[in-house]
Amino acid sequence: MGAVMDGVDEGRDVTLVQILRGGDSEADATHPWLHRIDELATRWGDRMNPILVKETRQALKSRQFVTTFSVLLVASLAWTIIGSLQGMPAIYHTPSAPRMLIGYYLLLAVPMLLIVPLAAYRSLESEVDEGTLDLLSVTSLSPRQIITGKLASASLQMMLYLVVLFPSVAYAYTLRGIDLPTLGLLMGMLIATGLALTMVALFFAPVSAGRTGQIASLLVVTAILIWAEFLVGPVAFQLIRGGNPLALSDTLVLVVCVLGFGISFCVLLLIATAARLTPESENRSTGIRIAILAHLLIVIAVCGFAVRWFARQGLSEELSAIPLGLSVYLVAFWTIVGSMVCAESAVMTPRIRRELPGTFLGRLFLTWLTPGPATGLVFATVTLAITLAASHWLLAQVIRTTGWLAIDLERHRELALLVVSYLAIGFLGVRLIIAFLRTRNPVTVRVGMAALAVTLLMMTVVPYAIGSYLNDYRPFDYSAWQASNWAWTLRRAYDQSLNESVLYLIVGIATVAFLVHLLLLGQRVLPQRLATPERVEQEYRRLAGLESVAAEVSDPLGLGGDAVGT
Amino acid sequence: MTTTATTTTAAFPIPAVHSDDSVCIELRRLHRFFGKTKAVSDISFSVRRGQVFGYIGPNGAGKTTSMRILATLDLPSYGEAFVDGFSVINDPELVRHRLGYMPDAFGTYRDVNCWEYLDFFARSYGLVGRDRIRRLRWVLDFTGTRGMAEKPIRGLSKGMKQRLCLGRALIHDPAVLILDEPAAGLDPRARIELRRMIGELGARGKTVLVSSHILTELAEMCDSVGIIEQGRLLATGSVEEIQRERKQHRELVVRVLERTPELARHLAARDDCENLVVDGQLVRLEFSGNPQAQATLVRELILAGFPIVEVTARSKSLEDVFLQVTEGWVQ
Repeated sequence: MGAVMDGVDEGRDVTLVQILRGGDSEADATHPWLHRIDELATRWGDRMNPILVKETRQALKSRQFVTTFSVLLVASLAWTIIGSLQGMPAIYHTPSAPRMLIGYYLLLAVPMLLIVPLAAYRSLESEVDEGTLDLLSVTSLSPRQIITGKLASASLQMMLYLVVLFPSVAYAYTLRGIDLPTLGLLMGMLIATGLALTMVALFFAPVSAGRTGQIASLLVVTAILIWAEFLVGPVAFQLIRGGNPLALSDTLVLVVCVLGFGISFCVLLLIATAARLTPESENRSTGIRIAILAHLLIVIAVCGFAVRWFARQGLSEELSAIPLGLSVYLVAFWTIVGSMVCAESAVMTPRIRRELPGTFLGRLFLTWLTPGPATGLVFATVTLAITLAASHWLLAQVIRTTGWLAIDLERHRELALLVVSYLAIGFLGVRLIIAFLRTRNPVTVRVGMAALAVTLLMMTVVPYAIGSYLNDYRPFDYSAWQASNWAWTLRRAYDQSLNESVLYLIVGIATVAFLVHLLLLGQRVLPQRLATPERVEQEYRRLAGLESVAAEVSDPLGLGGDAVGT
Repeated sequence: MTTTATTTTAAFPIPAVHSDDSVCIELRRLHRFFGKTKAVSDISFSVRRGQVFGYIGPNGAGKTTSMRILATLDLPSYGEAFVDGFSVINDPELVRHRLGYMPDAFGTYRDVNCWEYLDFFARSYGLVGRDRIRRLRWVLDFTGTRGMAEKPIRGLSKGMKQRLCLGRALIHDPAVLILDEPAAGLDPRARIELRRMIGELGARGKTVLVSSHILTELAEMCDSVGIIEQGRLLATGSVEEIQRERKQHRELVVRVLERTPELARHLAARDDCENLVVDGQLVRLEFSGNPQAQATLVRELILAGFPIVEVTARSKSLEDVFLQVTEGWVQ
């Protein structure tokens, strides 16, 4: 490298514009401070994510941004005039901020919650569609940088839209009727929701390369965005009209809980989206599994924190919803995530094997984070069991704290045991189906969801059909033969009419199946770590050295202070 | 350079780092299946440092697939590929630092001008400050796009877009260039310009793997070629080497003042002359001997008293070689 280099003005201080235009700018000579600002901006820009720089340049010139910006500007001005005139003369003596703010919220919500996420979606989708993602993939940018760049660009656009509305919002504040913390909460909620929706939109963007898949994913994203508009809208209106009904401490708890959940979920989506852009030869799984663990840990911690808080406030009804909601969320989460983890590719490329844990303790505890369906099954089942146990413990704490007996701890325990057992059996079904399919065709992890659906459907339909046939298609009672029929069994457990022996049978079968699986995969879960070739390590060290040298260069353009204006 | 570790991909034991310093691109038993379709089947070849290698084959032959594997954009089903000694499967980051890739599609952005486009890719390759400006300037000059620097990409002609895309592939000064159909759809002038640029890159020590349908151009700029059909590599080496391997004939045209039929009979009796055609005073034939044997033949004919006016010989072109090697299968 470095062979092709000529025609450079060494030792001469030049700016980018001068280089491209081939002349010195008069402004630089007459206004050295302008030159200095330009120099600082260039230096700052060098440290930024290239995607952010490119997307910002693109966005500022795009018709969509210019139109949205102009329309927002004109509409906010129009509403300021019309709203104020309509409120006359009461505006002088009656608090009028809420009425004006509702208009501004409606104006701002469209670009923040709809246009920016859709633009981010379209931006990533077109990278896939037009082949530019290939060009990005062969650069030094990592998939994670690509996604964070898109996210950062979206947040920058949001800031610009907020800036447009800022004078109008400030004007509304002067009309009285809303306090600054509520206004801050409203804007914070809008920004946080906008960013979360952008991340969701980015997650769906590379889902499918085919035209039909793209249309389907666009419809799903649009539906989510519109649903979010309707979900956030009433909360915002309530905030504007009635102010924040919660005390400051309660508000802080709520903000911590929502942010904790939202941030960890968005990070999980970000890592999963980046993994989709990463080649199969690389370890795409460990990062996702760590993000899953972190997300669940945060969710459980937030729930625990909320339970303690509400208990201290004496709010027992709110308390009951937390552990039950957590259980439902965990089951839904693991049904989707578990099926995909169990459908991972079993191929361990040398690159992945270089990164395997090398020590005994590392193997003991970290093997379950390494890629593959075998480790995935163990990871999903064990984590599901542990997290559901945590939610059960939380429920027990609630009952102990409040003495509220409306929640039956025993029923929750039974249901949790059954769900873990059925899902563990379902995950085994996914593994077998995917292993069979992989002998014929390449299979993506999304097929795992279909495989789980098929497994669960068969577990229900087959015993029911047999029972129906044996009873001459007449209604029949539940028996132990229907143990695999999870729908009927769960219903019986919910009604507290399930025989304990059936419960033990199901849990026993799942435990035995899990243990057999664990024994059979002994060799697979402990693959030998491969040494990284010395030349490869040397090269990585060399590149790391180059990067640190580049980072240390305080004046990358060679436009030192002494040279300014010369 | 020594091999320090061994990896195993499917059934083939393959060293993780190849050992020959002079080889810049190497494919070893490369296979790529899409379902039941064998896009690439057991391809092995190597390109030496500083060579311009032409990759020839009909549509659907597997050129783009193998180039995408080399560019770290796809993974082989079996086999390995190395760029500058690093495995495209195990060390794609190291490969990407050394590789400039130009796909057959332009891959441009909306609302971006040429300078912004190149600047973005320069940043993406980690170039900062003065280094980035140097490279941008060099690339704009080399590809002749400096005048277009502030023009939006969407308004550029195909030829200018192609130059820009070559510039993008060169922005980080890679040692290896992979160019997939760079001349497709270009007018003759743009093709000549592109050929000049590739030739210059080759002269500057870059290793270039270029695919094209325009065989005459490849013949002029390439040191060696690989002919691929139905995912299989049929021949590799310089055009002369392939001809020699395939025992391909030179075409001779002998013009005599008279006794043409007698000359034809005389030549037909020889083992090294085939497919004789008499055309007035001309006798066309395919001669399998080397230039020394050709000189001997001419001497013999003169001694035999044939009134020879002229003898012309024509080596087979790359096009002829391609047609002879391939069978016209299209997937």
